[in-house]
Amino acid sequence: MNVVHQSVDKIDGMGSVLGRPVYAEDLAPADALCVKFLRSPHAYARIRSILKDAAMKVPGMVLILIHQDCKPVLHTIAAEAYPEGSPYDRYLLEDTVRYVGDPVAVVAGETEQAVLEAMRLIEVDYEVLTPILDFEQALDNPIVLHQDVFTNLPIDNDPARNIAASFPWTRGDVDAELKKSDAVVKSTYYVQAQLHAMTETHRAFSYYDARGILTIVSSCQSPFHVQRIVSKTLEIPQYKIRVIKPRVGGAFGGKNSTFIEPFIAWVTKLTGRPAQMIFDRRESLTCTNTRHGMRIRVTMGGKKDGTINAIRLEVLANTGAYGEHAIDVLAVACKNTLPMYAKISAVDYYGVQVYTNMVPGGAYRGFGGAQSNFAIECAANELAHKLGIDPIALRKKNIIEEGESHPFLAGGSPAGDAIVRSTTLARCIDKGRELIGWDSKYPCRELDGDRVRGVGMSVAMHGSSIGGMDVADAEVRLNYDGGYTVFSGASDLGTGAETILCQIAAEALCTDMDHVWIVAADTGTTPYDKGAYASSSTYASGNAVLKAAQKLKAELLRGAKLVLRTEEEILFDGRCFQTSSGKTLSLSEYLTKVTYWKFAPDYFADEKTMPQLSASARHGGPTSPPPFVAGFAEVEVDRRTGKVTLIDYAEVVDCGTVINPKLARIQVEGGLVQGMGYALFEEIRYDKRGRMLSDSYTEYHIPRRLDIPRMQVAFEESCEPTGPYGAKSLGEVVFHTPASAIEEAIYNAVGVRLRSLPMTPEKVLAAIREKEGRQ
Amino acid sequence: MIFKEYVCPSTLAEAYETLWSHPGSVLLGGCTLLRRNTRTSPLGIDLGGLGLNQITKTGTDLILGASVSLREMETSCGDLFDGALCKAVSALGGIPLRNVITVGGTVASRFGTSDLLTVLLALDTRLQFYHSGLCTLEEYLNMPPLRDILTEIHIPLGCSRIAFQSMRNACTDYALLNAAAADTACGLRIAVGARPMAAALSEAAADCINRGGTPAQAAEASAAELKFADNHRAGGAYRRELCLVLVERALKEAGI
Amino acid sequence: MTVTFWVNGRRQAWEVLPDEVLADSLRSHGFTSVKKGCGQGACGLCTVWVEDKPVPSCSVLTVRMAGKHITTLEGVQEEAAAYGSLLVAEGAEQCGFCAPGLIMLVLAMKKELKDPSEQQVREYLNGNLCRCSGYYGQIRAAMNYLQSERLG
Repeated sequence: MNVVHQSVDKIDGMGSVLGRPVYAEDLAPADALCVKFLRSPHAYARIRSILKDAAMKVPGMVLILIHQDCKPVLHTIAAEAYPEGSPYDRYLLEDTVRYVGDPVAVVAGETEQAVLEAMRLIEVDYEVLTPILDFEQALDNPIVLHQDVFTNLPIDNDPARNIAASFPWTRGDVDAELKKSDAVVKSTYYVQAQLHAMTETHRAFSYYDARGILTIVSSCQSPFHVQRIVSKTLEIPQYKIRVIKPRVGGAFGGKNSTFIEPFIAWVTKLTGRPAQMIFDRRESLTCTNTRHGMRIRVTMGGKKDGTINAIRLEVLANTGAYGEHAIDVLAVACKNTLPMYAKISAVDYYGVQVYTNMVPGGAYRGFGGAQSNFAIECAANELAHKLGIDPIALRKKNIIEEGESHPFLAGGSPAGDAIVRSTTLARCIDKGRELIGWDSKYPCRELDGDRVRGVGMSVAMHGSSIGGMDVADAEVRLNYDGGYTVFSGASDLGTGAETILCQIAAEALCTDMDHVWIVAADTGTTPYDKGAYASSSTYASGNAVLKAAQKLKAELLRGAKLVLRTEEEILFDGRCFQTSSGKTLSLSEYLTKVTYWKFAPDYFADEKTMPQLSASARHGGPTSPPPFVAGFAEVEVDRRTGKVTLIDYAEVVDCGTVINPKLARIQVEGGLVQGMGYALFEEIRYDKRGRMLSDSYTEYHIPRRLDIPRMQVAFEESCEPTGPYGAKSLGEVVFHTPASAIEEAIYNAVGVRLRSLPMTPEKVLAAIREKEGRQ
Repeated sequence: MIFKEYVCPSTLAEAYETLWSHPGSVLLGGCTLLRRNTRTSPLGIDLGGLGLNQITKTGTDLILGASVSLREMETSCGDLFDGALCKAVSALGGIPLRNVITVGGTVASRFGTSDLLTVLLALDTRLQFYHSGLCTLEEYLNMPPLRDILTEIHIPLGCSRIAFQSMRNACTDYALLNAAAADTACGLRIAVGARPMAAALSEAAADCINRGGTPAQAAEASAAELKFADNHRAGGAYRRELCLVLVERALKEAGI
Repeated sequence: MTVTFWVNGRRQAWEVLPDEVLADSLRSHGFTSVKKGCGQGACGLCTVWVEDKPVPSCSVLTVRMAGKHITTLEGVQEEAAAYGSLLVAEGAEQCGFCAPGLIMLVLAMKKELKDPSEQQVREYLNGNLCRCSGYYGQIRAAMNYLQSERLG
């Protein structure tokens, strides 16, 4: 392959390193109104009254919108395909606020100063209610958070019990199987919420273009879903709304809900003026969505020979004040993790999401799979020790192999379970073992009396797009100038998705990156795409681009045959057509002849002329082939302070064909660092009244250069028959392993199990002391 | 808004007079902490025109002007005091931030989690205020709020050895506890900070060493003498455990 | 109040509020390379040079810039491209939002440190956050950059 499988530079790379104005704030009109939210200081309250007269008198103030001003349209802010699984449990503004930070008023003025001053003068009279601030107390609590909820799909939403959604799935009889187990691990894990903390906070602006189309430029992940939600909440036809995604400064799932767009659109609709809302760092951290925090109970049974024969997973998840993405997170926690151990005869999963008066959970890299993977892998490591079996041997004995099926794998049907068609996980494990130096380091090595080093490993899988739901359309057009344009609704969030799509098109069309241009993520000009979530850009959007490019090539060959007036077989090398008898035609000659009417009668007696060639294709279908990873951690534990220092980390990845090796490597390194943050540093704290205290980069610690170890990244390519050029996804699976690999490394170092994340020094020391106390 | 009006006085007398004649006014040093103020101040008084950015060494002291940036201190005084001044600020954000944070602002604000305060306390630092004159850092840490202008920080040079230890989770986290042990011209000084309260001297630890105790015994004495409390970052009991470790390690590292 | 200073070698006279920060003044006058990530100086994204020293422009008052020389990424395009192209070559330019601040810091590091080791490079750059790349691609690019500058 000439373009795919090459480390091609990101097409937009030099633009941002030279500081070009390509982000939302850079593009906003200079006269855009500054719009901000006045937010609730209470975790749960009813609004008795809002007095805004004094605020409106501030010079420069234009508009203040409160709940009485909005038509009550129940909706979900989850940017996902219609019909959404997420419950419709929000109004734009309501007389009830359900978490500290919940919007109370939309405040719009000429300057930020005017708006801030006005916000100080708005008087809100709250009836403060008792909040639920502990998700383990939410189920069947007499305090109830929601009354009006609408659901498109049967998700077991039951607001009277504070249940946002539940998801049960069973195969076989777990209890019967457990009786046959030689060892059973039964543990409860607490995996915390996490904040995306992307460097570009949430922002968007809106305006009416010259034709009166309400145009929204938003740092978002799914422009088409944004368009639909704005249409629904403001009762404007979708075709009168255009949503454009500019360059986005990081998202990781955090920009997959409509926190801003309907509100600025509302202001623009009422005033006719452009409007912009930019969240500050505190709002971005504490008033958007977090990863869902969970309590996960695992029961895992194994036989003497190392076979895992039964798994039960019980998940209690905290969806916070609203239920966006709740059901899908539960589904992913089951379907993107449990198929790893395929020899299993009995699997039982039950997940429930409960409402609390805390910051709402939502989409975040891993999307439930990361959390359940921690619990399952920690349990698998514990089981290995209990059975007296090497944890690597346990994995190799149980992991799903090519050709094996599992009832929870996406793509199954009543006719049969889906099968895994590509995996090199066993090789990934072997390679990782070698890279970390497992054999000379397992289980631990003493450094001095105070410090000891240990190693641990874990495996993970995920999906590639959502089988049976995700749709990506693409169009590829050949231009008269000899270049190709790819039209795709896919949203590049900085990962290089646009580059990948161009590589795929260039490969299919036998050309180079210079000749391929892409127009993306604009509801006004590009075809529909579900957006950048669920690791779908390479697999789903890539497949659509590949099919469209292949169709275009077929059309091109047909056109060349017409121009060459031949029925012979024709070959195309990207620049030149050649028949088997040796007749040739260059692409540029072809284009000259078909573009200009002067030449038409010579060639197109029947057809008059050739139109500009363009081909469309869609990807949609049941498949979601899992990528696989094996992660190996080496840690150093200070026995006296509990401090865990990361020394080395090796991750070996099977994402099918690696379309762009250097971009893939960066995805792995970036995902691992986020996973290390989740494992050790990123602690979220609330005060007693429900206010999130982790509201800045000084209170919430994402990893920095001096926090992370040396990282070794390798790929063991498989070839996925359903993926574009054999590719699977990469974006989310690379997050999963650090938490469980590090947990096991700590256990091997100092003999204690940490069952709650993050594994802070205080928790580690407490566990060490507790173990000493027991001895 | 942080402050409404701005002045840049050219003499200390002018600055002090302005500070006292304008209630609610704020001094502008590094300016990095101003946004913590919830109320708008009527006036910001810039200290930048007062020439407080000199670093001088006399026969007895290192004198840092209050407007000296942490980075200037790091790079000019890195080899003094066994590098303790550098170690004490290396966890504070990054180099750009340390180019604007001033020594004076760091000391004057008396934050409990400050690593620098612990090192300066162990080094028997004196503070020069425009109006109130000279006082020890220890005195200042125990004073009620002082409306004055800090002009200089005097650090005696007669310290033969000093070591600084701290414990934090992420590398630029606030310290969960810190400790410094110094053998100064006027004897042993062992300071423990981020308890979460600000640095305090442990007389008991110094006594213990002076009577021939080991670093471990001195650490136990400090943990028994000093107070530790819970906050949202860590528990008091954990901090006490850390005190046992950090004081012992600081003493051993300093060869005391 | 009006403040006069130099930005990228050109004299400027800007009307600013007394408590306005440099990052806002720069952005509102078209220097959009300056990114604001936190407003506290904790992320390093807004790094510019004042008298050739890297500072967090969100934590610097514009009124204090009188007579000073300020440099933004717009003023060092050639050098930015030199390191930036190595960053792109590593694939380490991802969302790009941290890139301008990082590049200003790397260029400052090249002036301040002589022959730094990788550990020293990590320490120098530690204040600047990145949530996308995992940092090592940036560090590899920085080592390559320093090496290429040494070789001239």
